[in-house]
Amino acid sequence: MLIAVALLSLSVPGMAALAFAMERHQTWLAPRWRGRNARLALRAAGITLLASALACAVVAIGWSFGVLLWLGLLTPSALAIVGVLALGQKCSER
Amino acid sequence: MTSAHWNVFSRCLAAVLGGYALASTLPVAIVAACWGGAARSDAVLIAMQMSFAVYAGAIMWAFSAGSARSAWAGLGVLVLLSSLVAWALL
Amino acid sequence: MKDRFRQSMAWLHTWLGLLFGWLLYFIFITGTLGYLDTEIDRWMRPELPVASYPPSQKMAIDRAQAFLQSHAAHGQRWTLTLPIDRNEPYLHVSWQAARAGAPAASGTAYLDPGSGRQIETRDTGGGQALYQMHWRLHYLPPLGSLWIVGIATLALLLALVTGIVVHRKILADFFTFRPRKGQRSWLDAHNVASVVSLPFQLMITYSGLIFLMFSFMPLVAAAWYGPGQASQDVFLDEVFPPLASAPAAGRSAMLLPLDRLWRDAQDRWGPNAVAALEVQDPNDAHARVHVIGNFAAGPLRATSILTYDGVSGERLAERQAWQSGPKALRDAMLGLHEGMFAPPALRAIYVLSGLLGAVMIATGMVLWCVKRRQRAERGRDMAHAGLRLAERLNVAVFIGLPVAIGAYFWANRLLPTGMAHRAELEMHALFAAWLLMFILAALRPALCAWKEQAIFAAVAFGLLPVLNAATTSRHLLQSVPDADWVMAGFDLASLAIGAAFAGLAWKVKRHQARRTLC
Repeated sequence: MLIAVALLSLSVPGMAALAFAMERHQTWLAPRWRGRNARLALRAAGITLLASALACAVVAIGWSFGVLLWLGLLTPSALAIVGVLALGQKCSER
Repeated sequence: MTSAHWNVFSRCLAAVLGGYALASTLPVAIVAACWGGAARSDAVLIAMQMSFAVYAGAIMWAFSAGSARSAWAGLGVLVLLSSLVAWALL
Repeated sequence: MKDRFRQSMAWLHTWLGLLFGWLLYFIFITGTLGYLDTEIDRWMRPELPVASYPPSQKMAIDRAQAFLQSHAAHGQRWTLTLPIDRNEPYLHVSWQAARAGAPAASGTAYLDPGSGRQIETRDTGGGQALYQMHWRLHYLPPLGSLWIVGIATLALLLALVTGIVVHRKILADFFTFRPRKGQRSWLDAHNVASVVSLPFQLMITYSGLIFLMFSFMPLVAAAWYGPGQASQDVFLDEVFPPLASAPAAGRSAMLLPLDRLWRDAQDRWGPNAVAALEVQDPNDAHARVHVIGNFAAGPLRATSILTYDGVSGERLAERQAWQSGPKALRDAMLGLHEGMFAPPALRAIYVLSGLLGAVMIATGMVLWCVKRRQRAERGRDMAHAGLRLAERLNVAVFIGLPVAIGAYFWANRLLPTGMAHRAELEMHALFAAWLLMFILAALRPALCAWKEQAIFAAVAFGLLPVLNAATTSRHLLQSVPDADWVMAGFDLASLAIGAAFAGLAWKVKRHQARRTLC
């Protein structure tokens, strides 16, 4: 259980970084985080965070369970970011 | 029945029957060629597990081919070739 | 060229969805419930105590053997299932009647490992009955269900692949969900649910096909083994080597204490590795004891099995978990599909992914109807009978099935415990409630039906803990202090599900306010 929480604390920010690296969602960020260089940096950060999550999982619970748990946790992580972005859009439209 | 309906019906038949035929023969040919030395039961296991991907591919071909005729032709040729290879190797 | 390919795949995707969507939703919901089967089992048998996993199974085996000896000394087969983990949390025995005896002499029982006495539980199919409908459906002959489910699974595989082909901007749209934009929102929801759980969906579908591959692709086996059923049997015997069985001798002989064999197996396999014991022809001179390891120890759905002579204790055969790469691949796919090995966090993800699969299907079907309904209202197409049928089937299946499952749980608490055929009646209650939902969906305007059936679901699940309190002593005020987390968890989940459906009903009502229909 603790492993799952630890992994989520890496994969959720990772997904967030990947999301904000996309042009479509850049409007949420302050101007200094926009632009091509910032997007590349965010994408790199996102990939690094996700990779670290995978590494943690494998080190903590071995290859088979680790890869499975990591893969599985990608789903709620991505879903969480979708939810946050959708909520944000709804709030900004009010 | 209009020609469009015949087209769809023919492709459906090709997909279901031709696809099944291909799914039963192409994996056998591939496994016999690439894993010739494997034990019988292992060969069957590999081929069976492969067969659904082949079936799906065949169905996609049946509906994306230029015409119903080419759908049947493509599947028919592959089934024939696979059967020949399988018969030769087994 | 590429456009025409996309077009044909879009056509295929839509037709597969329309033909198999409702059935696949049923398969997804019952399958997802399967990941919580023993928890549901336990809630439906409130007579059972809180599960405890004893450090040593020796006493459990002794008690179970004594019970079976007194109740089924000359049965054909005994099965002892040991309480080692969440997949079988209770000491459970079953026996098959003697060949010459009446079938009624077969039975099952839950035993208390301390005293060896039977725990009387109500006759119910439990979570197992719900989950088995996942591939067996209900009211249909087994072979028929197998083919229907198998064809639907192949259709799902194609729907997934064609969906990926058709989804033009799969990466650009990855995090996109735009609420309250009508058709666009339904498409976004469909895409998000599918893409976010895509690895699971592909795995669950392909592994589902592998479950059925022996039945579906016999010609592949025939290529190596020859035609005919006898050849198929030879093939199956090579994949699953038989375990030194012997026909019954007809002479009596004393069965030795099973815990000796259990200890021998533990010495070979390690602590807590034995999940079950199966005795063939107990108290016969040719008795055989199969000691079965844990299928759920890891993602590979395979275990070693040791066969002993039941009279002398001699080790006769061992079937290893690992036999070959190709078989291990099959075992891995089956193991991933069933998820029995999954610890709580991973199990929660399995449940989430299964529900996302159901959402994927439901949003797809609703999207199709919303699109066609909009076209019909703009006068471009007639609102044809197919559209009206699909709109009604959508609500009757997507909301009606949860209502029916709620009715199943209500029946479990309301039907008298001593009633005959109780387990079958609970299932009849499920389908009767579902039939009622179909009828109501046919009679009411579609949007009203959505609201009403969502309210039924909200009531069915929201009030379930109250019903539990009224009919048993294992309600929330008791189960939380007792640390009976399975019981409490079920009640709390039920409240959450009720609240979710209430929220859905409210959302439909708000959407409706602009159309003032009911």
